[in-house]
Amino acid sequence: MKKSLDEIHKIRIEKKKELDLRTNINSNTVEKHILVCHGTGCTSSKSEEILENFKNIIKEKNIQNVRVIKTGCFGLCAKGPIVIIRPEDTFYAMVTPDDCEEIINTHIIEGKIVERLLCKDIDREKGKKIR
Amino acid sequence: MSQDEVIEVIKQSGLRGRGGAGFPTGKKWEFTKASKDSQKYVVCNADEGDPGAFMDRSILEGDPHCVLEAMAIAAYAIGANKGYIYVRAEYPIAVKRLKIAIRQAEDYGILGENIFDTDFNFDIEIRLGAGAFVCGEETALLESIEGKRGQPRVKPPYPAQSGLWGKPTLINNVETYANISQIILKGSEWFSSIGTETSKGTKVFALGGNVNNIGLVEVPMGTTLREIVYDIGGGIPNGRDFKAAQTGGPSGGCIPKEHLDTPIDYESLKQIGSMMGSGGLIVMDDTKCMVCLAKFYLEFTVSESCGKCTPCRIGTKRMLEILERLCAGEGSELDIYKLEKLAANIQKSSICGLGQSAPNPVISTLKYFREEFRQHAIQKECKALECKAMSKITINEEKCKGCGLCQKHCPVNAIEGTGREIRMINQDKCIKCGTCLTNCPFHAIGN
Ligand SMILES: Cc1cc2nc3c(=O)[nH]c(=O)nc-3n(C[C@H](O)[C@H](O)[C@H](O)COP(=O)(O)O)c2cc1C
Ligand code: FES
Repeated sequence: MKKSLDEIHKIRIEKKKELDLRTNINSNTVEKHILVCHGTGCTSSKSEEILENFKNIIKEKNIQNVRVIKTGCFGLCAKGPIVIIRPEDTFYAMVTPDDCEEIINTHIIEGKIVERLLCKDIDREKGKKIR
Repeated sequence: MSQDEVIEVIKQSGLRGRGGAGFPTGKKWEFTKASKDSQKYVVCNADEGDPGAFMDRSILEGDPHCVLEAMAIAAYAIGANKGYIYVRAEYPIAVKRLKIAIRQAEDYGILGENIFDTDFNFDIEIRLGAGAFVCGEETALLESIEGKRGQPRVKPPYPAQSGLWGKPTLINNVETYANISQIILKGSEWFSSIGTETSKGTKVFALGGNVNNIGLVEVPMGTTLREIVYDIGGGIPNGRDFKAAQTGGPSGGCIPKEHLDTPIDYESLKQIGSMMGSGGLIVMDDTKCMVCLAKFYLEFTVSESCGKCTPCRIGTKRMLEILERLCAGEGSELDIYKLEKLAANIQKSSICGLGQSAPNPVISTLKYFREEFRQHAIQKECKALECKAMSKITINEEKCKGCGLCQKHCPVNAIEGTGREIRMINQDKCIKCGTCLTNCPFHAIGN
């Protein structure tokens, strides 16, 4: 459907709100975003399956306020597949489809970080620089 | 904004082409607008042939809309109504997402006829390339879009005067386009506040090779190679030393250790014999042989030369043969002289950028690692141990503790000695695979 300039502006404002959660790290909303990289590197190491798994588990467990979103490349392709959880900005590396259950149980439900999957070689400052 | 205002903002921003040559984008737009014709085209170069580079790919996969939007802005500015994206068929995800994005834009009326109720019409089509490196060269790319064999045209005339089907054509790289909307949104001062005097904005590099964090990095122009390799790239794995980095892929050159603090911008890189190129950045540690590096890139250009002009078709082949001789331990000092002669001639006499820049990896490795070439030619020695034909792996008697680990790992049983005896390598059996070298806990094996 063809949209007028005004309508496009409205869409922009709507979408911007959603993006804010991802760009504004201190946001205090209850909603969480699980970002799954779908760049070339991560796709080749099964990020599509990871995305599906997250969606299925969330549906199964009937978890509210969590959205699974596919994203473009984060830059650390050799450490892929990359999964980032916002707003807390947790950076998981080399995630496998089998890890999804644990991420949901430990991170999303219990609110604890899955230490074993954290991207360790990169300290936060430099990690930010790369993103 | 009027057409001229758009062009003025892009000119003021200082944006330069990210496809390799670094031509000022605003100027290119101005020239194409100035060409008088009722039909003009906008083309996006998404061929990305530099081995190891995938910046453009990630933009197309991650944010295809930013390229479409920029192409529409460009079309408006120069007065075109038709655009083509030339993307290689090896990028299936990029193609798929581009198609989705184009359909979405058409649905919303952002592409098509009478966009936002103005009399501006613009639509975009995708053309798939078969993955020939030369088709990244702008005129060969245009030939290919026209359905002909991908061979370069003689310039001038430039595409801005006579491009697709002889009509004025604007051709820019994916990453160049990806900067456009942000410049229009945030203004030229914002953009030109990032970077150096002559190179504005940021540049994305595909960081690869012997470096800890392999992937994509986006840095402000003027960032030094040291910062990219050590701070962002996390340094060299296995505690090894940095030897050189190759920028610009097969058209570029190597940057040795003494230039680690060179700021990465168009001019500085050119000055030290390399070039910005499209953004491939391959890091090499001290186990890499520079003659092999030159040979690798020459192999690439020889197989990618389209064959239209003799210097590139035959000259690069002769250069490769010399490099192969050197690596096999059959070269001579005369060969180094011949390499230089050939390189200079090919640079001068080739039709397109592929041939003109093909000798660059040889010239720059010769410039910084001449001694290594001489060792190959005269002493028949490859210190990096990469040239298998020449390398002779030996065990240092003083360092060897007789643990026998090398023996255990040797796939051809070439290592002699028993118990705690100092081990010896039987050179007749040794296939120079280097397995013993990596397995020796006392660093007793080398040449
Ligand atoms: C052999 C050769 C290969 C090239 N390959 C590419 C390429 O893969 N992608 C690209 O954008 N430009 C490539 N270029 C540069 C283009 O010819 C052209 O300069 C560029 O598309 C212009 O866009 P820009 O001004 O935005 O950089 C290549 C040039 C040569 C000589
Ligand atoms: S492809 Fe996932 S980080 Fe690059």
